[in-house]
Amino acid sequence: MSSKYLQHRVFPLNTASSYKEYQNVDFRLSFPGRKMVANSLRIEGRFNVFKLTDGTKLINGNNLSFFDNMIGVNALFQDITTSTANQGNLELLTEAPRYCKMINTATATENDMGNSSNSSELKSRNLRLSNRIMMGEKFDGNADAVSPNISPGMSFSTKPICCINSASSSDGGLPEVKYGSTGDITFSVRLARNDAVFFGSDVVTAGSGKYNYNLSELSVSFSSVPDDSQPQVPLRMSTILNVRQSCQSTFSNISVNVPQLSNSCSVSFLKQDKENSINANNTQLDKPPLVSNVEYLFNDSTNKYLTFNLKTQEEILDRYLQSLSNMKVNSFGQDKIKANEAYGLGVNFNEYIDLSTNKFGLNLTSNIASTDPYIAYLYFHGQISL
Amino acid sequence: MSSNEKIVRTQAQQVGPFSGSNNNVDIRMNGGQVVNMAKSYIECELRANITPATTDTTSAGIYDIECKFGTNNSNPAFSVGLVRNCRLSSQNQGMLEEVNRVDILKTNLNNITMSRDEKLSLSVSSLAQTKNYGKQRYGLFGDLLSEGTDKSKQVVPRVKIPLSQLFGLGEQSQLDLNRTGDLNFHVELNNAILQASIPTANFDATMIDCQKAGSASGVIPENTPNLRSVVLNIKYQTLDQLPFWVGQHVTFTGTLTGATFTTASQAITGISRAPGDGTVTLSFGADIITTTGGQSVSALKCTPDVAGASATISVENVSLVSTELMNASPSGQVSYFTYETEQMTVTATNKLSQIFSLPPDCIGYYAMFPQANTLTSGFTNPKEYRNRLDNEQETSRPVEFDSPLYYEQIRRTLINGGMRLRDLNLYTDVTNDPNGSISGGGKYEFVMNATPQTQGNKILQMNISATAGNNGPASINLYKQVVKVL
Repeated sequence: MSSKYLQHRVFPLNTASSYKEYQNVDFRLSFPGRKMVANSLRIEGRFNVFKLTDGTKLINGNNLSFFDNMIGVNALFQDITTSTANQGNLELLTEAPRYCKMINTATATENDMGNSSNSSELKSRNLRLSNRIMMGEKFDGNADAVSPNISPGMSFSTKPICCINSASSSDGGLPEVKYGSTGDITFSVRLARNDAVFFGSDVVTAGSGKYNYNLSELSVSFSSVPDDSQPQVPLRMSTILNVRQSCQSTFSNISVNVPQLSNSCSVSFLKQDKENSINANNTQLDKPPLVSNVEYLFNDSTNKYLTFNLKTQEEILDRYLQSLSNMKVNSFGQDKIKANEAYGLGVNFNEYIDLSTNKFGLNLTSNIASTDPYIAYLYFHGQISL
Repeated sequence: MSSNEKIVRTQAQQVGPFSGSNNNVDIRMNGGQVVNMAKSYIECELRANITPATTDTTSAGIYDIECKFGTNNSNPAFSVGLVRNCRLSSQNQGMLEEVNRVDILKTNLNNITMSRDEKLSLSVSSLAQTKNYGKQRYGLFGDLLSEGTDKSKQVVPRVKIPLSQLFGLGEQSQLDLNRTGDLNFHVELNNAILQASIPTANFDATMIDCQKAGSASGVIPENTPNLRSVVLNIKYQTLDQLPFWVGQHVTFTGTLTGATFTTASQAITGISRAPGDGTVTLSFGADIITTTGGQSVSALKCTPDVAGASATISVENVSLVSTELMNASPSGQVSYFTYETEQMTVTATNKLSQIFSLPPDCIGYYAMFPQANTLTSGFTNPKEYRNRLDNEQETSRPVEFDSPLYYEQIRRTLINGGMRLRDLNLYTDVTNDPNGSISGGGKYEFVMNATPQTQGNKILQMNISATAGNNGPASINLYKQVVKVL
């Protein structure tokens, strides 16, 4: 008998007791005779943090080591790939933790990180709480001698940003993926390097005190319903495509073609010397110094959509937030902007434009110096149909 | 390639800077197009005219400027407070909307219809300014840099006032100007109440304690030559609560053994953070002090120097940023809400009774109580009210202020008017300071109720009582929400 509603659990193809930095973890989602409920994919496991290479966990005194509290365990999934047996590659999202940070800071406040939906992803309201999460499932204030090395890592269940999790049905119903239309779905993640995850004064990268992590009891879960033998209802899935560019002068020109239909572009920055450095948060949203002019170009022309240049921080950030969402809440206080914790550029095209044939350009005037370059991360918001 | 939208900026017909007397602005939106009014807004370019600190003789300092409306700066300063009165007319239909004292109406409605997080989130681009958990509040007039050697700079922000804050038609996602012809926006700026202040050290005192690098806390040891940098005692993992920025004018205090500690105020030329332990170093272009043998400084503090500094804010320029829908088909009839304002000054008494006439198609009224030099609606010693509509009691008993029935009246009025009650904390300081008291600052008071939509006028008798021995409000703005069709 076919159960009406099933919760599937899938273990990695490359079975191991734990997974570390740089490792690719592949999951094959097979659900013959059933329909996968889209937007139900979650990664589950335990997040174990060690201070020593021999596997010693953190002790109470290690309170100046952190991972980004606004993205939680999503900091670990550097690249996310989704493909199907029949359609091939659907999406390859690189620099996924940064995109997660951009989304969360543009649509939520730090207070929201205490909600249960975010707590299960190990997000937290401040860095101090993220430090407590790194210590695993032990009561705050427990003497170190009691259990620092036997307490299990913090368990998590996170909904990764991928096209399978951002689907909508063309008939307005529950988005479902027929097994017959896709075949097996392969979902892969590449785990981020340790130095890209941890930061803080206590964190060291080498020697006996090296901070590192692993994921144990790792699995993917999703839901399915019986196949009703009806044709596949067309699905729209949002995809994200990342392009990196370097900005090395006061006038930076970025011009790209991307192989997809896109309806908006969001850009964030990181000072180049902070990348993969424990001295700074790798997902920090740096503000290039003294930005004085931003111009968006379509096929090298400014008069198609936004007919004027953006010269003030208010209008620049307003467009950026609109490129990510229409939410009325964000984490963009002036103190965060001043401290390089919240900044970005972006524009919402309000329709899908084929940027493989139309060139998208960004001109940025700032005080970026060639001796202190910045990396620009451009995320294009696209759509595929299934 | 073409987009289906086009965003265009249209300058006002008048040229700034605008002053208390020169405060009328007219902007024309050309007919023959379809416009998304909900995405369009009026943009005010503000300039802070700064008098630097007394010791800042070279005007080298960069200052943080706060905005406030009147004497009370504890409210979030909603950008709609920049507009006192507004009017919208069209070439073909004539007058469409006229809302007097829209600043008071929307400032007070925003406070109860926006959640606390929504209000805090306005800090990104509007005049709303709130303190962070380090008790600091930053305005829009400085591009402040917390690290590096690039000097921060004063900027001229453009503050956005969504049309939806001013007009009912401003909420339409598609308005066909082929039917209306040109739209004329007239706004009267609220320059007289717009004020600026430069905040003093409004954070924990320990944040300014510093020392010479490598010394004991708060100490500059003897025989220190040409000291040009100090490190802060507090260490930072992130810089969002650092109360300093590059270019900030600061002064030093301390205790010098055997002499009086004196040093010239100067601007910070660089800020760096040592990732190893989070130590923050402030660098300067001139010597702070040179100590000789037997001389040492203790209790060293680096304090933002704003003594004698002040600022005024002027509106430099006003424009309309509109979103034109390129391929939209002309729309049909449009229904919208707007407000008619009746302003009244009365003799304050313990029991106020006042008659108002509500126009046809009125679906609710909002009585607000203007106070001198602030946009907050309120009056002292409120007790209760009980109103009669067309000679029928609206409630079965008097509505005591801050009672469950009072809150229910607010809730149902807002729902009837197409809004939602999202914040019932009616004290002004709550959003202002996340660490502050939940009952700090001034208090909002309203009298509001929903009314049945009728074709004729309705007579409203408002009866407001103050507490025993005290007088009630001396002025009332009654905003009558009406349904109109275009």
